[in-house]
Order: sequence, then structure tokens, then C-alpha cells
Amino acid sequence: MVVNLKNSRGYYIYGLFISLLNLVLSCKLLFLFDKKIADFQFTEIFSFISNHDIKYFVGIDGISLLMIVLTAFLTPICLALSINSIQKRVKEFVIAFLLIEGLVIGAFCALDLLFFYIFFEAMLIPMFLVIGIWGGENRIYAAYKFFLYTLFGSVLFLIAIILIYIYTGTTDIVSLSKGLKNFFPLPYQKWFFLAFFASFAVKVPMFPFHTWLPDAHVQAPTAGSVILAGILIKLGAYGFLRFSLPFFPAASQYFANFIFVLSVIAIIYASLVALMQEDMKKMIAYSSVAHMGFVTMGIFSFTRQGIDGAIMQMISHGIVSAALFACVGVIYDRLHTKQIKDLGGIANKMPNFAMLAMIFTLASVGLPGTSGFVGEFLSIVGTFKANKIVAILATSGVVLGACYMLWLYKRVWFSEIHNQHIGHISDLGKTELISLGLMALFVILLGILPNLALSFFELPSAQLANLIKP
Amino acid sequence: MSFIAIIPEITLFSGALFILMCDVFFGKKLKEFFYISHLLSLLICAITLVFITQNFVKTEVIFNQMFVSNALTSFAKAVAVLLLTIVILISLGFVYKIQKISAEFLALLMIATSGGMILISANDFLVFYLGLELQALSLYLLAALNRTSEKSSEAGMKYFILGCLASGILLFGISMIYGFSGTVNFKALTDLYHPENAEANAIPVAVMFGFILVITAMFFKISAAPFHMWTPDVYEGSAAIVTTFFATVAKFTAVLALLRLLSTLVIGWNGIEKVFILVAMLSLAVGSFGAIFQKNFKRLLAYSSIGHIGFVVLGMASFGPESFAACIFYMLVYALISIGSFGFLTLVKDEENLSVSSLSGLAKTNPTMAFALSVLMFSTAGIPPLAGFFSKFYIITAIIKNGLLIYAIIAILFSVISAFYYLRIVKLMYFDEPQNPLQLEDFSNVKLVILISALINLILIFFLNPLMNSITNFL
Repeated sequence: MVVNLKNSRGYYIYGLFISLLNLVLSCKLLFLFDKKIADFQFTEIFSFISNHDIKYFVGIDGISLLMIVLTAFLTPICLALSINSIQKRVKEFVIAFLLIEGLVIGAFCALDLLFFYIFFEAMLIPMFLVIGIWGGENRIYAAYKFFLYTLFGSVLFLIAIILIYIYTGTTDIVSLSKGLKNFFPLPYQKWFFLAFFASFAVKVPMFPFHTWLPDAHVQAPTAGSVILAGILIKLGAYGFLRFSLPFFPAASQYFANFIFVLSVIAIIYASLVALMQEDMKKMIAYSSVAHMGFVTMGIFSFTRQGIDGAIMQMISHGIVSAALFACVGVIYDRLHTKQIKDLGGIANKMPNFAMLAMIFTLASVGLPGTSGFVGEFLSIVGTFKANKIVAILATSGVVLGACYMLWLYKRVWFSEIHNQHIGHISDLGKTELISLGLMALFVILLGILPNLALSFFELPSAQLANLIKP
Repeated sequence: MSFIAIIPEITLFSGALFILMCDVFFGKKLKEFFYISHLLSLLICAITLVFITQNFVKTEVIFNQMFVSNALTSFAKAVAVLLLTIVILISLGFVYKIQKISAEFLALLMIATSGGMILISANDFLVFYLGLELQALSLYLLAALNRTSEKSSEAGMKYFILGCLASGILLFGISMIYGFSGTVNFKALTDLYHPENAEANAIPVAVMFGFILVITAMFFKISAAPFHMWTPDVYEGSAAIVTTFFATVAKFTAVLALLRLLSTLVIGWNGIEKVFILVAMLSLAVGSFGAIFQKNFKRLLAYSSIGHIGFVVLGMASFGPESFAACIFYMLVYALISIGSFGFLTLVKDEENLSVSSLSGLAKTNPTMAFALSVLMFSTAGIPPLAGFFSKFYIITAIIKNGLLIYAIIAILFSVISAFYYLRIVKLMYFDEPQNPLQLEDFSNVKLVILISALINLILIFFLNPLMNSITNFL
């Protein structure tokens, strides 16, 4: 395949080609993956720092497999959506995105703590550049906030990794998750848990560490928001599942109520804040905080339904919020505004777009038949077993979610046309239609047949749930 | 008695004198003499390097236990001479500018390096002092080399006065040690105060006081806070190439000499680690907070170097082979980064007033340099997978192993603060529009060196194993 790298389109085609190749390869993994094995598969080991017994060790289980596929699915969409909107420094843009994709996949399949940390941190560099170079007006503030917040959270994680390494002599995740649970006495476990928590809570983000997220989302370019909401913040939840629970079960149990409280606050508070937003991106960013609240709540219910629901919600939110940000990007490309008050009546001019946006809105609300429902329902059911009050409070978040999302839909897509520019806009182009259409397809498919995804992580989530009896 | 152990120093020193002699006889006659002396100095460095590699395998102690040459010293000298070679390599533009005194400039660089080499090999406080002075006197002259610039003269004067004070402190410390123990030889001192016969010969307070004075003087030389005051002024005032030399060769040899002093003098250093921790914490604080407010790029790099020295001193605080290996690794990576980032300064045309904000928009005007410089900045900030992360990782691991957990946490938090101003440089280069584009010289040799140093920062992750193993073997 010969690509003319002289013009910007050539770079996009190259980037798309590489990322689609990645998608094909990761889909191949889906078929090769054996669902009946609970352990890690496709493992590879190289000695890395021999006198420290730190190895390059990768492998996947059902949870990481789906996250990898999600990453590989969203990256080409990001690139495809940017073809028309980003015209400056295209080469660097494509490089940054392929780098992010590679590092995220690396983080999801790393089976060595230090390697996970390296991937986890390294993706700050391209993301910092994506927000800072191609972002909105206030991009520099947002890029700094994003970088320093995350770095600050993860240095404690690094100290904890070094301490674990010094006490146990290994950073191998497989052997640590078997051996570490009874290794430290509870007081130590609590400190370790908090050090891990500092990093993952910033990344998820949980209340009250969420303030970087709205800023980063509002300022980032469309593709940056898509990848941030779709994948990067899932790494925090993935960290809880992969490290916090198996390494420190007793401490996890000890802090479960604390996390329930934070999650419920996140769900209700973020929903209320989202109601009052004037900026579409900011509203969806706050809805992300609320939806990730369901994820952390589900994980720390320690029930199978809760953990299944959390993972399902991660995948569903990965697609839905990415799609919603893409929708905002579609509007922004045409009208150059993200303010809700400047919009209205788009459905008249863009019927196809309105239909797809409706599907994503309803999925975000959690309507039965969409993937959003499965995740929210399961995590609330799981939490109900663990703590009834929390579950009831969290359910109110679903109602609030319906309030702000449907209100948003009404104000932007329906109602009368205030903005005279809306008269001239055209409906979705081919690439936009294909990418949004594919996302909508998966949202409905996973809503009707959740087992397609659930069957992959049945065993690992059962293992996690068995670790701790609530 | 064999002279083989000291041959590298002799070669480098006499080579420097040879260049000076040539200058006297041919300097006025030949128009292109600066070019010849430049090539000559590179040749001498290469010969010295060859002699050093001969000494790698054997340990020799000569001159009545005063001078030692073993694997560690040979390794340190090899790195120092390699750094010197790179500095000379990228100094061609500067040598062209100062044609009349080019031979003196090159000779001073080489004499300073040979002083540093003697410092590393010293096994006796007298040799230690001689090496230190040989290096320091050349450095004073180098700082004041740019005669027409007020700032350069000021830098040289400041450095000279404060450096003399430090030397005085060192001599006072040595005389205290001599007065109360009767010897200044490292081996004799180790025999006297070895921890195993600590009951028989407890260290007198005065000797301990002397050691602390010696270490204080060394803190001055490596510019650790609170003895750092000269660093920003000298770095700012000196010519960029001289600053590069200060940050790489001079700093590397001084730190290695201090490390060797600590590892050879096996005495009961009880309680002294508190001094190191204090100095390390102060250096980290000064380095990270001081740099935030700097407008001049050279001063910013000077403060950043103080912060790095803080990390190294913290590593020294936990005595032991593992932490010393971590310190050496840190200095290697730091020298690597410095060669690139200070080397960039030599490219700038108007280096006297190089403000940080003049870097804005460099990614548009010179994308290659901007890329290399941002790799170096991310690496200094300690972001994985770049080399700077691993240097910090080894130090932190070593000191946590020795039970200094709380200081490790503080050090890492300081490094997050310092990440802010490294990010600022990247931000200026990539996010901002060029205001008044930076005038860069077109020296392909300098650019190549910067690119290579950035590249090594990127790929060092694959060579950690052999590198760390060999450092551990040298110790």
C-alpha cells in the first residue's frame, strides 16, 4: 500500500490503516481466546531488569481482552472523525494517537506492576500534547491540570509498587494476586490500598478528585475527548479490579463503605451539576463522572452481579460517552459552538444524526434494550445485596440522568431554530455515519445480547467476587 | 613502582601543555591554528581514553598509598574523558569565535578534566586537595573566559571567591583530621576507625568534625543547597559551552569523587546520614521551587541541576553498594541529559539574554530540535519510559530499602513540582506561537549530539540490564 505522506490526508490514511490492522488483530484475539480458562492467556515473558527480577510480562484475561478490543475499536473512529476538523500538524496528531493506542493496550495487558506503571504514566505525554496543541482556548490550563493531577496521584502508586517489590521481591501481578492477600497485616494493607487508591481515584475520576476531567474534556479536541472518556478513565477502574481487590482484599472490604459514599456522592452531585451546565461537553463530562460512580460502586459491592455490572458499564460507557462526545464534535464542526443556548432544532436539518444521537442519549439514560441498562442494572442489583441504602440512593441518579440527558436532547435537537446558521448545515458525511452507526450498532447489540460480552469475563469476575465475602 | 596507573592523567595534562606550546610557536603564524588545536585536543582525548581502558582490569595503588586506580576509577575517568570529548566536539563554533585564545580554552578544559581524574583516584586527602584545586583553578578561569562580558567576569570573580572559601573549609577539615588522627591517608584512616574495631578506636569528635567540613566543601563543589548560591550566577554568566562543561564533566567528577570518598573510607559514619538527608531535602526544595520563577533559561537549568544533586545526595545518605550504584547511574543519565540540554544553549546566537519565553513556537521553526529538547525535558521530569525515570527509580528503591521511606515520598513530591517547569518548556515550544523566533546557529555537529542524547534517553530502557550490572561490578 503506497501512501502519499506529503499531504495531511495521507497521514490519516496511514493512521487509519495501522489502527484498523490493530482492530483486526484484536478481533482475532476474541476468537482465539478460551473463555473456560480463568488464568491469563497469550503470556509472554522477557527478563528486563535481571538483578531486580523485573520482567516484561504480558498476557490477557477476559477483562483486559474486552478493554483492548474497545481501545482498538475507538482509535480508528477517533482518527476518522478528525479528518475534517484537524488540519494543522496532522503528522504529530496521528503519531500521538497511535502512541496512545499502543500504550493503553500495553497497560491493559501488562502483568508486571512496574510495566503497568510505565505504560500508565507514559500515556500522559501524548495526551498532554493532544490537549495542549489541538485543544480549545483555555487548553494550556487544562493540559497542565490533567498532567499534574494524574502525575501527583500516581507517584504514591509508584512508592507502593517499590515497597511491595522490596518486601516480596517481585512485581509479577499473577503471583502477587495469589500471594499478597495474606502477606501484609491489615494496617499496612490499608496504607497500600490508599496509595493505589490515590492513583486510580484520580484517573477514574471519583469525587472529589474529578475536577480535572471537565476542564480536560472541554478543552480537548473531539478525538481527545473520545479517547479520554472512552478508554483512559477506564484504566482507573481497571486498576481497582486488577490490583486493589486481589492484592488487598481485607483493606478493600474495610474501605468499601468509604468508596460507596464517594460513589453515591459522585452519582448524585455530578448529575445535579450536569443539569446546570451551559456547555454540552462539560455536561457530558459530568455525566461521565456520574456513570463512573456506578462502576466503582459495583466493583466494591464484591458481588458477582456488581462486578459484572461494573465491567459491563465500563464497556458501555466507553462506547456511549465516546459517541456522545463525537456527536458534540459533529455539531461543533458545523456550527463552531458547544453552548446549548446557541443550538436547537438540529433534528430538522440532520435527521440521521438525530436518530443516532437519540440512541446514544437513551443508552446514557440506561433505557432497557441498550447497553447502558445492563451495566447500571447489574451494578445496582449487586450493590443492593451489599448495602440497600446506597443502592436506593444510586437509583435516584438514574432518574437524574434521564432528566439532564433528555433535557439536553430536547434543547439541542428539538425545539425551535434560534441560530440562523443551522439553516445551512448538512447531514452526516460518510465517515461520520459509518463510525457513529457502528457505535450505535454495538450499543443496541450489547443491550439485547449482553452475554456476548459477559461470557468473556464470567470467570475472572467470579474469582474476584469469591475473594471477598461481604 | 609503576606509572601505568597515572598515565591517563599525565597524557591529558601534558597534551594540554603541548597545545599551549604549539600556540606559542605557531599560533600567530598559522591562520587556521584554532582548527589544528581543536583536532589535536580530540586526538589527545582519544589517546587518553585508550590508556584508561588499559587500566580497567587491574587494581593498583601507587605513590606510597596516595593514588589508586581500579575498575571504578577507570570507569569514572572513561566517562569523564568521553564527556570532555563531546564537549570539545561541540565547541568548534565557540573556538572559531575566540580564535585568539582557543588554545588556552582547550587546554583549560583538559587540565580541569585531569584535575577531576586525580580527584577521583585520590587515596589521600593531600592528593584529593591537589586534584580539587587543579580542577577548581581551571574552572575559575573558564568561567571568566569571556573577557568582554561583564556577567562573565562577575561569574568568574564570584566563583573564585566562594570557591576559595570552600577550599579553605576543606583544608581546615583536613588539618583537623590530621591533627587528631595523625594521618590523611584513606587506608590508614579506615584501619584506624573501621567499624569493626570501633570500641578500641572511637572516632574523636574533632575528626568527625573534620570529615563534616570536608564533605561540606564537596557539597559546595557539587552545588548542593545550602551551598548552591554561586551556581545560577556562574551558569548564567559563563559562555554556554563552559556551562555545558560545568554541568557534565566538572559535576560528574566531583560527585564521583565524593562517592569514592564515602565508599573507600569505611569508618563508622554514624549519624552523618542526617547531614546528607538535610542537604538533599534542601537541594530538592531549592531546585524545584527556585526554578519556577526563573526567566532566564540558563538559570532555570542551573536550579534544575541543584534539584538533581538533591536526588544524588539523598542516594548517598543510605550508605551501601546498591545506593552508590544508583547514584552513579543517576549521574550518568544526568550527564547524558545535560549534554543535550546545555548543548542546545550553544546553538543559540544571542545566548546572553536567552529567556525561557524565547523558546516559544520552536516546534514550528525548528521541529527536530524541539522534539529532542522535549524528550530531554520529559526525561528530566522523570516520566517513564525515558531514562530519567529509571535513574530516579533506582535511587528511590535504594533509599526505601534502607528505611528512608518518608524522605523518598518527599523527594518524589518535589519531583512532581519540578515537572511543572519542565512542562512549561514543552508548552512554550509546542503550544505557543513563535513571537520573535530564536536565532539558532547551524552547527550540524551540535545538533547531532543533541539528537543522539535524546535518542539514548528514549532507548535506554532496553539497556538497563547490562548497564546496571556493569556499574555494580565496578563498585
